[in-house]
Amino acid sequence: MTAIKQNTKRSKWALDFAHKNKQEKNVDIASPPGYTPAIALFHAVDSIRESDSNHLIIKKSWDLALGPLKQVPMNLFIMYMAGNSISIFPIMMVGMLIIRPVKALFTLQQTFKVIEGTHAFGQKFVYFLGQLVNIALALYKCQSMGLLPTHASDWLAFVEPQARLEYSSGGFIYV
Amino acid sequence: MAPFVRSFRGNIHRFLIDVQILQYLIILVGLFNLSLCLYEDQVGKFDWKQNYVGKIKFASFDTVSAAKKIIVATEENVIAALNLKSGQILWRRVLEKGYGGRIRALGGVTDGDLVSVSGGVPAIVRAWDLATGHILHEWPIAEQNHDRRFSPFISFSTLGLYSANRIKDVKWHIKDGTLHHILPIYNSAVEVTSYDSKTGDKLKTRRVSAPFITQETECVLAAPYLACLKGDSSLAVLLLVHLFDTHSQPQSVTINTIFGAGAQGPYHLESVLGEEPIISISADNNQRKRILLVGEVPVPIQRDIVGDAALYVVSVDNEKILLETTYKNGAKIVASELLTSKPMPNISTSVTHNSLLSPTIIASVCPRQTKGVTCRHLLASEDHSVALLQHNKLIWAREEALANIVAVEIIELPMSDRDQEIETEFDQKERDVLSMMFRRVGSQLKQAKTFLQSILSLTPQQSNQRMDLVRDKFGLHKMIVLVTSAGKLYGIETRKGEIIWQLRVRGIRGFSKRSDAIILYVQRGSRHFPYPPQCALLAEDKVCIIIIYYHQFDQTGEGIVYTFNPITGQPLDGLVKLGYRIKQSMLLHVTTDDFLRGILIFDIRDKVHVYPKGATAIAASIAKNTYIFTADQTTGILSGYSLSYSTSQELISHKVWELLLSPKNQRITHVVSKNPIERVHSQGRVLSDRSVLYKYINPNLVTIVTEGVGHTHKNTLNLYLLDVVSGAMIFSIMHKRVRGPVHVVHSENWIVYSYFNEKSRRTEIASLELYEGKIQSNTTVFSSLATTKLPIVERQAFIFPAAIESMRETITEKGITSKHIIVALANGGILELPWMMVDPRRPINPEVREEGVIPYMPEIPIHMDAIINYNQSVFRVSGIHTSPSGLESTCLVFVHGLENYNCACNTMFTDLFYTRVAPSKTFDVLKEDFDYYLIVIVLAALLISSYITKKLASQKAQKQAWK
Repeated sequence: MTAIKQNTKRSKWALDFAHKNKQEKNVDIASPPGYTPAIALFHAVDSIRESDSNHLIIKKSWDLALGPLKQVPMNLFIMYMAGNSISIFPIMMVGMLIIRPVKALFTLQQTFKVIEGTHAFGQKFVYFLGQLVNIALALYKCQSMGLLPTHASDWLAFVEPQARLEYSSGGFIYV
Repeated sequence: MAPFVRSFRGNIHRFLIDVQILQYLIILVGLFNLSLCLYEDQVGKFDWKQNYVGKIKFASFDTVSAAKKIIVATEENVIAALNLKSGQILWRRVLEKGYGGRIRALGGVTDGDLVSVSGGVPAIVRAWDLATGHILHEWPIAEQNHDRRFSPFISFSTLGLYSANRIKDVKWHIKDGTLHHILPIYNSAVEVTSYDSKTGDKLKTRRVSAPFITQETECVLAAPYLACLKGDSSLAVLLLVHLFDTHSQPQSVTINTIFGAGAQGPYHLESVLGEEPIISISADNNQRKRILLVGEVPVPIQRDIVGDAALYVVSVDNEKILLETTYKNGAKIVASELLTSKPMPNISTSVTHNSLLSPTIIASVCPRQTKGVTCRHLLASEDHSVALLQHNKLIWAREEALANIVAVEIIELPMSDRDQEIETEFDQKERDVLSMMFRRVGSQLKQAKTFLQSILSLTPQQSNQRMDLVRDKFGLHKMIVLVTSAGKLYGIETRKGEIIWQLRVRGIRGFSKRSDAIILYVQRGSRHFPYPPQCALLAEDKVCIIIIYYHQFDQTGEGIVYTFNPITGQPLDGLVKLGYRIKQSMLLHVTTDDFLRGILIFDIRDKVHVYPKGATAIAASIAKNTYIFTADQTTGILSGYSLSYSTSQELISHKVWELLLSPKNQRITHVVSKNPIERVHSQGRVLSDRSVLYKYINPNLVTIVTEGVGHTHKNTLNLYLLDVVSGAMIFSIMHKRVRGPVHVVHSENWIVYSYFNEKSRRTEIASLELYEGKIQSNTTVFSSLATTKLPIVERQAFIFPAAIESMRETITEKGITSKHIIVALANGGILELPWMMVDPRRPINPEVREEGVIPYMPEIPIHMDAIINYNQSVFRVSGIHTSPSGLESTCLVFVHGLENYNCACNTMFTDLFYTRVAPSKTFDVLKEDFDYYLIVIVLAALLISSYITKKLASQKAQKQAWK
């Protein structure tokens, strides 16, 4: 939200300036003392840049898209430090590692609302991929901690007892 | 430097050992937590114990001591003192088990010292303190083997046998502090040896010539005479020998002088109880009898007495009075003067009581008091109950039949009346809204009415049952149904051990070959409300019918079925004679439309019958998958029968397999199947690598134990695991130099058995565990016919530092709770042993750790806090019955004694002990000292404070907003 606000503000500012400049150009009045056209030239360059603000947005949104991937080494480090023992802190860390990317994936549309342009789809895809990588890492951590129900023993409680087909009875003869 | 290094290394080594010991210590301490202990205030809260003495053999009134009491000696080798007023046990001493402790004589009570003779060879004489029951003196009589002198070639062992055979002829007489040992020497004389009963000094040995005594001679002791009956049924002569006069000649009395002419044999001789030397002779096939006063000149009484009357002679004011006890719908005691036969109506009594059945007077006293003569009679009934009679009044009665329990079932109590109403309300078939609504309103009105009535106490609530005999919330209150060998049934509730009902079934006896076992089946529990619960007894007809076929006499005890309501003790169908002998029986697992489980009865000709007849159709429908097996102890043959050829009208058995277990030197002693109501929750076991080892849970698996002599004349024990459907031998194991007593527990996928190791002279417990492997062959059904792969068998043996009397596993409703083994120890304790301790997968290498598995230690420790009966010792336990309760965590345990069937003698004595155990602790119920008030107060305080703080917070926020 804040980014959008800033953008609108900035463009308003830019608009005002340009308009004023144009008006100044139209009114043929000698330049005030100390005014050098070089600055005006500078202004012109600036305006060129402003017209190229799209580029900046793209750059910024690429940053956003690549963010998850940049987190990967950090996460790896955290995972290494947490160790494989099952206690409250490693469990909390692993929980965060899983929950954050999942949450991010759910809010993907909102995150990329402002991002438009030709690259938008690619960025989204990269962002998505990055989060997936994070989830995979967290799952790997769970796996190495033994938290995933991947063994037969994890499903033992759900194994139904075998039904009996034959019925038998007997013992010592009575007489 | 080097020595330092060495010492350092040594230190490290020692340190490691210390660490190891510490580890073991930690494990040991951990084990303490496994067992549930009892707090002092919980004593007697969940458990009760009842003491019995058994069937009375000898009794005597103690009139000498300050506290009046009755001294009894019983068939169960117990000497006890009973309170005269209440019948409670004052003290009780249990002698040796079986033959070695059998009480032969009891005497000297009138002289103020109690002397007992027990055992065989050597007999043990004990003098007891009357007041406390402490042993004052004890000495053995070993020298009885007079034959040795005559035949020096008899080896010691045969001599022992010989003496044991004759031991029944040995008689004992205790009088005036002297013990007389009376031994007949066949065809020659009677040897009387006198001992000082206190010190054991031999006083005198006499020989009285009696050349007529042979092994067949029937002799009774009527001190100071020995009376012997000689001759056949037509002409019999009674010979009397004075035992303390060596010069006297035997006197002879012909039967005709007693009975007059015309009496028919066979004659039977009996001594009349009491202080006087009197004998009774019965004639005419026990139709009538007459009595004879034995003395210098024997005096016959010329009066016929009914054959089945029990006689007793008591003296009142130096006058001898004969008491005749007869039974016809109540006991009747007729007193008459002995010599003149003048009736004495003031002493004669008659009494009718539920617990009296064909009683005989065991002891009687008639002291002269200010009001006149008052007699006290101690009566022993046919069904082993004991009663004290005084002034036509029954003072007390003891149910000593409970000392001989043959079958036990624990049955749920029925629902309360109100619950039953609700049950009937929802039991209706039509289900339209309007009628259901009407019914609902109607029943609620009725409930409101009864509630109002109970509040205003207008009318007492009408109920056909006792108010407290209803099912409780957790199903802990149940009814124990006991069947005793005397054919008497008891219903005991579990809370206090009170006898609710008793029922006498006449004319039945247990299956003789199975040591009087009576089979008890629960055909219908109390869950199917409109139908009453039903139990069935399977036994033999007591009347032996002699059938003659092929000129061969065959004594048959035909089978009978007796059905009754286990909650009220009312007979349902009554006694049903089957008309054939029962070989085996089976309770069907399916019910008929009225929820009754039929009984399959397999008769001696291999025909299959169904009881009740109405269940035949349902039995035929499942006959295809029904199998019966029989084990013959004498021939060693195991056979399996299939019922698959049955038609819908008739069940046909067909032998499918047969197995012979070396009958020559091995004898089948145990056939142990699993408890049919058992459920196994966990289908496998998790290993350390998190894979699963699936259990081999074969419901048709049966453990068979044979005991005998092996090739090198050493005792051996074989254990077989047999699938009784297919006849396949799953596993077998042999233990050499091992003998019984063997106790087997078979449950889930494991077998635990105990035996005595002769080589190391200790009791050992071995356990077997069966696994299918890492893959289950069939995940949905188990068929004994389809599985071909043999299971993996894990095994392990442990030393058990006590002698075991009986073992049983705990059982719970869903099988989630871990299993414990209830072990009855010979020292009177009942141990709750976690199965984990005898787990055959306990690793020998302590490095290999699996979850919940303790490293192997050869000896199983006995922790005193795992003894569930704390100081309430229960001796000679031979039966433990476990039953699930309504709570998954809790198992009900009932401990009792019963006849031991590998022992020829029926000497067992029992205590009844009932308690409940929670093998995995009570995880499903709050502790009873749980502080409900505290938690309510804390919760309420939290709620209120959160509400107040919410208010306060909003006020504060409002104030801040205005600033």
